[in-house]
Amino acid sequence: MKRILLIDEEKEPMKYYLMALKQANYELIVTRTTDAAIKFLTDDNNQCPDLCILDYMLPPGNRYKGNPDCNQGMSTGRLLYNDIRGIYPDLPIIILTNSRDAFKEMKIINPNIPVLQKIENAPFDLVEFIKEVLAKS
Amino acid sequence: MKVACQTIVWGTHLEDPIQTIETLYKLGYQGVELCQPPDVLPSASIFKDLLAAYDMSLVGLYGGRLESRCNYCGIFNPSYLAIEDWTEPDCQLAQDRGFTLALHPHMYKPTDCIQKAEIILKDHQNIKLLPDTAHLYVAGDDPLTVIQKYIDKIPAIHLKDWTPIYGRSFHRYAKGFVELGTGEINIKAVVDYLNKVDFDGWVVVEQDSSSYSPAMCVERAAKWLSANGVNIKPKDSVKIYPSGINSEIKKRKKSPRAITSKLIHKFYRTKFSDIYHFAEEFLSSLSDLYNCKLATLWEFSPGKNILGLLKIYPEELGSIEYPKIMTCDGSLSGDAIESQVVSSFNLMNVDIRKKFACQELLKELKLTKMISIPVLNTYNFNHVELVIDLFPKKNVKLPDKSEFEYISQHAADIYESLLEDRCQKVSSVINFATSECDTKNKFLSRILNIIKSELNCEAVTILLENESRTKLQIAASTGVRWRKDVDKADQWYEKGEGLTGTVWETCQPILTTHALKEPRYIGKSTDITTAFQEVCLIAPLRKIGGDIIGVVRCANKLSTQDRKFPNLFNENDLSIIDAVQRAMIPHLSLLLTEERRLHTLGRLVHELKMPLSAIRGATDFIVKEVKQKRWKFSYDFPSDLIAWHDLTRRLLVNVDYFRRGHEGLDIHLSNVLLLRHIFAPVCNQIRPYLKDKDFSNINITHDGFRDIPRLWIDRGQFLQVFFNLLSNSIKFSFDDPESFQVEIATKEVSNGYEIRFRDWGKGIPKGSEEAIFQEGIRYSDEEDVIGDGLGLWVVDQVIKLHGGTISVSNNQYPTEFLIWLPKKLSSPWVP
Repeated sequence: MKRILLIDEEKEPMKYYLMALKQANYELIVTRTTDAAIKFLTDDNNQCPDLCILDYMLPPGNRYKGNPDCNQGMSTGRLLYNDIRGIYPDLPIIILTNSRDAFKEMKIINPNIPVLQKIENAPFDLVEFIKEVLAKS
Repeated sequence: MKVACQTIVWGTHLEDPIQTIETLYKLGYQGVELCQPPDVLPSASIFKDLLAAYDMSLVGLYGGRLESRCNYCGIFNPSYLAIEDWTEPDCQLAQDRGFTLALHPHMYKPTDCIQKAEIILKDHQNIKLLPDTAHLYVAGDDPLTVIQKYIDKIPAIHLKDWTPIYGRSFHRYAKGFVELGTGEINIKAVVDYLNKVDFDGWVVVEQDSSSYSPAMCVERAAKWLSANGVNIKPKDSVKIYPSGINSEIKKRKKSPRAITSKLIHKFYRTKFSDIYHFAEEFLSSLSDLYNCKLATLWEFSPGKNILGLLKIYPEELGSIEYPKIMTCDGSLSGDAIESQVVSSFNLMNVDIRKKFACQELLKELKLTKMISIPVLNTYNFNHVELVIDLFPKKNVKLPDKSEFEYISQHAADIYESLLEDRCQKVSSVINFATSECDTKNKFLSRILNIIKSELNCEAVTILLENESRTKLQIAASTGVRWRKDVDKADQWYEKGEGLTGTVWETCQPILTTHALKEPRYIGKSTDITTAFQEVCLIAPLRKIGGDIIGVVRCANKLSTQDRKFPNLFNENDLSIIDAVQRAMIPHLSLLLTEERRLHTLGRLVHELKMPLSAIRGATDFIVKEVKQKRWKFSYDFPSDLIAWHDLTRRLLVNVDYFRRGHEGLDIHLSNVLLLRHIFAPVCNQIRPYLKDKDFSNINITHDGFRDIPRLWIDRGQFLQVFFNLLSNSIKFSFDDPESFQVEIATKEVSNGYEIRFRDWGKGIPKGSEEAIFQEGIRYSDEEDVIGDGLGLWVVDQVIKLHGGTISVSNNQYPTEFLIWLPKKLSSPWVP
């Protein structure tokens, strides 16, 4: 069973995605803050997940509080993406976003980064997307 | 047509008449009109010899009293003596002595336009007209029409061009006199007309000021005339002036008047002058005139009790360099130098901006050698005093007070004018920037560069208040070498925190030479961190009404290349900052408002996407399960969809308010029970928010609803009020289901009804109790909370529309909002 780490502060709207992922037989670890996500990934006792999904717009948490690059939480995902890359360079990471601008921005930074727009993709689309990403990795 | 040149371009004191006449001769000018008064000119006989040596004529004499001009011109035969008004008995006397008088309309003089001149010309038939193309133009007359009308009465015409860029005010219009052909007067048409009528009088090139040297200026005028059909040809031959003239001219005595004339001409009327060069010239002139060992110019700000050194002269005093002249006890430079016993100090170790109580300073002023001149910056009404300290050589007596004051008063006028000019220039540059910069970042970047360049400093930072006015954040910075390990959180300042926070709190600027030694200094990584950044100016940025919106911080004033001027910030720099803020704040306020609205809209859209994507997700499941022919869903998706729909609707109402703004909201009153029609439905609508945090609506309690009668209110709008307040309580709670608690207590009071919303969440920072009701303003410490900053603004608008009020009655534990509604809302006659 593949392990997926999901980082998103919105629990209620994400529950449909979680339901779909569970139905697809993934093991899910959910963290709602950037601090909790980094703590999980840097804890030696935790096994590295097979995939990480993070929301582009996240509360900065203590880690990025006051950081202008975070843009008051509007771009936290970009900073978190880089930090996770620093910990696990090969871990497949999917970025979820509701913002078309964020989608474009990430694609400009690196066209190969898997980015999915939530508003245009239902939970089952995410499941299919995950399969593609895992198959490539 | 004969061509002459007026000598004003060499200044009001003709320093080298020989060179002047020789220059004009070589360029092909045939005559000269003197503007300098006779008492500063060489003797008439010498001057006559000089002109004769170069085959040149004295066309006219402009400067000085008419009687003294008549006396001077006795041995000449000038074409005219210029007058600006008819004054008995002087004019009559001049005419009786055989001189031709020519009336010269001149801005801000008694005869400033042709209409006034015509009255005098009618009354005094013998008077001629001396038109000036530029003065007529500035006064609103058409020079060509005037010349055409009075051609028979004109012995000479002042040819002068003018540009309106400096305006027509008394202090400025003369700066607009530009080289022929570069202004907006049609000089060519005048020249063409004079050629056409074969004018046999003089055209006199009069260039009041120029960005070129006088010689270059008159050369350019000659070339322009030559290119435009005027017969003026340069001469190759060299004339030798008679021996004896030179030595006689050099005998002329230096005088305070000559000094002031020189200064006025050089700094008051020209375009590219500055305060520091004026200070240098002023001190060198005084030093020269009074035979001084040392002269210093200080700037004293009575409001701040700060004495700052502007300039010392001469520079080449060897060991006595400017950083070492100020002693610890405040005794002044001259005494220290003379006695040779007073310790000298390095600038880094001595506060050169010693504070003086005003009275103490005045006691120090021995008026025979020092003087204090009040200077008012008419641009921003900052008041400073210039303090001049002269230290004469041994056995040299300084002049009496009145002579000293005569020079000083002119110096003060020039200083005022230069300061005003400098402020005006900055203001113009910023006004230009406003038309080009349509984003806050672009605009601030331009402002930083303008300040950096104008103040000649190494680094500039602009800090702006956050939306709730509780913190000051670095908004833009230039010239600062950021350290790699800079702590991002250090970009915020609290009120009173460090020098920056102190300026923000007190709204008073700080000028310091020793930032690190200031007791209020704190070592923030974004603050002034090295010894090289000790010389600082930190000033408040205020709106025109006085409200502070930020702080500007300048570090390290740079010395000029030749290190002639002290590298200290001074009152001039504060005036520049003042001018900058006056020019920039209106545009910046607009950009900030626009940016805030855009952020608000962005957050609004982001917040809306949450329920929309949830609806998409829930619908997706329903579709899938229906396809699988599951008629009993695995989860209560329809119920979820209703809740998401309700939430979406409430958010959309906020969007609608945002779209429609403060005005245009209609009230549809209905007879409402708060508990049944407002509170109960809202509790359902906030369900997604509660579930998102694992909260229960059991923790939302109410009391006293039944004591309030039905109210005539807009139900839809009050649903929004309750929804916004409750959703805020949830959003700004601690993420702990146990501690989440909201109480709504209502009661009837003597003049109305009170509704108190209390929660035990993160609270509202002190100082932002009013700001949070403004459009787009969010709580200060809330980066982790989604929201658009519209909720409380909408609440405030709705309550006001119903004649009520809302306020924060307690900031935290509990956070309490108090709504008051007027009693009339329960009246059956309200509809």
